Amino acid sequence: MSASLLRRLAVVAACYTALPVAAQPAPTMEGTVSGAEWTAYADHFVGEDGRVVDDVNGGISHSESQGYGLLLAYSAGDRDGFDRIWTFTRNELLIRSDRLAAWKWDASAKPHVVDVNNASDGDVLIAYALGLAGESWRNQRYSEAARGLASAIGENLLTDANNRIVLRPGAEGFGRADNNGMLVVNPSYWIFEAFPMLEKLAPDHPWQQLAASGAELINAARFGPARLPTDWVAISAEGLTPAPDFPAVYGYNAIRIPLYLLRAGAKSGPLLENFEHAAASIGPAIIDIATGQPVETLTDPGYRMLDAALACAAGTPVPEDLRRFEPTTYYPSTLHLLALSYVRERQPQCL
Amino acid sequence: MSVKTLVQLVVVAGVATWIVTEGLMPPTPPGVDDLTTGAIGTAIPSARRTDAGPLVITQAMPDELPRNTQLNSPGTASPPPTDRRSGDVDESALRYFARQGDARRLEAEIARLRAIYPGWQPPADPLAPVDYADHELDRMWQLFSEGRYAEVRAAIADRRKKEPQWQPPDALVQLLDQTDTRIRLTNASDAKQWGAVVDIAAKTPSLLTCDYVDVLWRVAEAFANTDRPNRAEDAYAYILANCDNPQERLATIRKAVALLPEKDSDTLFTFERGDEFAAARDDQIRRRVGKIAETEEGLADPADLTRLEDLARAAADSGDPALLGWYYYRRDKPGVALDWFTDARERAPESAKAAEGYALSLNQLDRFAEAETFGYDWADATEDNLAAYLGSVVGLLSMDPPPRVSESTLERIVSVVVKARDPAAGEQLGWYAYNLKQIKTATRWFETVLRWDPEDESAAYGLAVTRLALKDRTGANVVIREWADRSERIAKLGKPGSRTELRGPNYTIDAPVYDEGGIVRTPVRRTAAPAAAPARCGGSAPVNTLTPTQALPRGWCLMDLNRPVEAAAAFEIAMRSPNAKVRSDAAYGASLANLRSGVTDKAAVAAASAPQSSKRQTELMTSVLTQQALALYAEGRYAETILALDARNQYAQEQNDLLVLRGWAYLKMRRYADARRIFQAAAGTGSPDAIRGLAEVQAAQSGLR
Repeated sequence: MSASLLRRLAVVAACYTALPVAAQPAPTMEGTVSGAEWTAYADHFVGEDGRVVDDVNGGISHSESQGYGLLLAYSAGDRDGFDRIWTFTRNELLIRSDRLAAWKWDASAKPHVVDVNNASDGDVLIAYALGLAGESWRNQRYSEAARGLASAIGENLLTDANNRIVLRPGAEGFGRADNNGMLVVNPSYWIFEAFPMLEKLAPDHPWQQLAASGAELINAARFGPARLPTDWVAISAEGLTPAPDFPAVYGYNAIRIPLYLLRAGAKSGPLLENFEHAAASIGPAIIDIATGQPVETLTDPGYRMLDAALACAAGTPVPEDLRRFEPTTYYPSTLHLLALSYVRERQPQCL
Repeated sequence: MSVKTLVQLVVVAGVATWIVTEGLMPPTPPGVDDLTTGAIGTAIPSARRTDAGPLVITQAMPDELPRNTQLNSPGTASPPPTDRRSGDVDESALRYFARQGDARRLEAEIARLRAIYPGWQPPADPLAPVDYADHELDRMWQLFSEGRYAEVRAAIADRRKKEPQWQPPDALVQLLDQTDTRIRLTNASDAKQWGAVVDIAAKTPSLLTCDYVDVLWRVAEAFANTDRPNRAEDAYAYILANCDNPQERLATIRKAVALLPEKDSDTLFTFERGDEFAAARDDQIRRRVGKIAETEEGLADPADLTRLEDLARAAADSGDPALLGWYYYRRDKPGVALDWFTDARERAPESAKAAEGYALSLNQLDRFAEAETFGYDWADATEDNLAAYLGSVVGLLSMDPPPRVSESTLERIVSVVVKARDPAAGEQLGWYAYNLKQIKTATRWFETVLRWDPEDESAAYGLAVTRLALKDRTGANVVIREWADRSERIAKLGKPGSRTELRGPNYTIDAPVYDEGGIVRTPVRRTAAPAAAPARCGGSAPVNTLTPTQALPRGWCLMDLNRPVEAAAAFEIAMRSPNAKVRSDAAYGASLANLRSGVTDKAAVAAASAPQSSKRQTELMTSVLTQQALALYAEGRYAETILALDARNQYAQEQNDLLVLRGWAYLKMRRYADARRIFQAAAGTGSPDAIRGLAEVQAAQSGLR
């Protein structure tokens, strides 16, 4: 893809995405997950010590699971649960000298942090949830921690690629020097709804530009016959390509992208059309980019709810069976609640 | 309250001030130590003045205590204590500390409550069980004392749901917060996030007391690992000045010895009470001797050695005997080393490191057969054990005269060598086969080694020699052509009169050896010269396992055998020596070796990599530039040939043959006037080449006109 095409797409993105970045009242979100749903989720995936367990991934925890746990506890209005998850997150993961979160924690390893590197989406989720809780519950400790983490993200994870501000997937690695001058990014790490909060928490950093580059990136990364982004995308002077050394799939990372766009206020339209098309023609699946064909069909209600949320944005009611939440495994259950929360917040007519 | 408790509290305050000062600093990048000035200078002296009675008492007036006690960490969410009426003083913390038998905290809590509630009187016997009605709260303390912190929080949350007016005791809230911070600091330290450790400690002075010596150790470690040994020393000094637990004191000084430069840990020995630090003094000896034992430089203090040998004989573990083994091994006393490694192995039969030392000592004693038998069982353990075993193999196979090696031994040797793809051992197998007249087998070995490492000059040499021995002139020429410009000895194999001959009635076959003049001379020894070279050159270990000091004589020895490629490898190792003289000699050797094998650019690099005497510098540069000029001319790079010759002129006068070369270079560049001038000068000495050059200039010019 040429640089000029990329620039042209920037214009497209700016015209059609209509993603609120700042200066727009953030949705309250509190109460969009019911007490019963949250209790069922927490009984399955949250330990009494506040650890959010990725049960399918060998029972490990990570900064992403802790961040999702915080966001859902906030959405359910569970202050004690939030505090427990936060305590674990801070004590066990917020131990890096640069104030970002270590990403991987394993109960069976000693020390438990088995990879002290960070994962930027985890950092963003944690800072975002802390910011929300600090603001709406007037908790200074949360706000202070949120500001610290937001600054650390701004200082360590934002970088320049083709004259745009992008989010590095981690503070170490993924750099140009490691990848023959390419910068590898993960479009699903752009959690658009978080950026207005990060803007409030750490106003010295270019969050609006980051949001704009993310929308542009997702709009431009239309690979293969299905015209979908890969989990990992390489940015070079020539433009965007599926990242070498990563499977070229629309995979478990990328399937979150439409949900994040919806939760940030994206409307049915150009930015969402390829995701909508894939949902309508293929259904929930991991899709091979080269062929545009599914390599793995996803049947969990949580994954089906992602498609239902997309369909709802275009006016289709959410199927009856997906309106009831039953925990299955950590990742799809998390996505299920986040998608239900979106529908209740922004599209209640679909229920 | 005892005077001692007051002393401790004051010291806590002193350290708190010091650390908080740092907490106000922006996060400090490691290496920028702007923290060692100012505050620290005032804090630690007071920490050390534990017996300065009057001053301490003045500073410890009770009304200052709340600020100083370890229970009052900043930033807690609990409401200010003054909210409480003195009627409902919460004594649950007292009860908890009494049950724990924690007299120090008990006293601190009494002081704290007194300061908040001036009229309050502590229970007459605070250590006696108190009849306490709040069983729920009691359970919280119980859970806390069992380290079940999440459950304490859950119990607090449950109770606040049921009784919204209820507040958990300040002491409990503060202890929970402190526990969180301690866990976080411990995790950061386990993850080697030293900056985070210092940051967290700076914000939580309440953790920096004798109650949490482990935290102080971790803070010290963080300072030591961020180039602030003085701050680490301060933290250790704080513990030694103030904390009484004998095990912790000894552990502290031992950690200091392990982490700090010797002069800094020496200062800390002044805190010794009686001879409690004897074990740490032994650690110092281990460290001193251990440092010397890492290299071949220097000798240990005889008193240190005597003490360490006593310790080693008495020790139950293998550490001290093994340390002495390495010390003597690297000092060319393999017999003594072998005895110590034997001791070490008796104490730790599973130690791969001790086994490695044992095998290397046998190698150094030339007891290769034993070493091979012993080392085979360890070859899979670590890379070092494998290297030692391969050293034994090379040594065994290159012994003079060649030893009888049983078929089963050869079989297992081959299995390890093939798995390790080790060129040196593979070549040795080739020469061993060659000596047994199994020339085809030898050829296959050299071919195999070249597949492992296509750049291996010795294997190429072996291959050419064995193919010639098989009268495979064509096959030999393939090798010779490929290597002629890189290896002088291979190039010479291709010249008439230098054919390898199978001579003599027995199995011994001498490969040709060349002296520096390039003339074939008959090997003096009965065995194949290349095969025996490593053994002759004073050791069997593969070159890449040598220390710099061992490598230097090996390099010269290999030069004497005219094996410049291997010699260059040995010299390159020697160039890593910490000793400037060794480095300089090695660079000189590497340069000569590279010159001899025709690798002039490497020779130039080597010559420049260590300072040389001006005589050597001149010699090296003259040779380097001469070879460069010749090579450049051969490649048709005439302008560069002139540049090389010009550069050479700065070191030595241009000999006649080089003058002629210059003339030819000018001629090729069609600088006829220059060429004519040079040839005329050289022709004056009667040089036929110059006369021919003059004729060429003439012809070229007339042809042009």
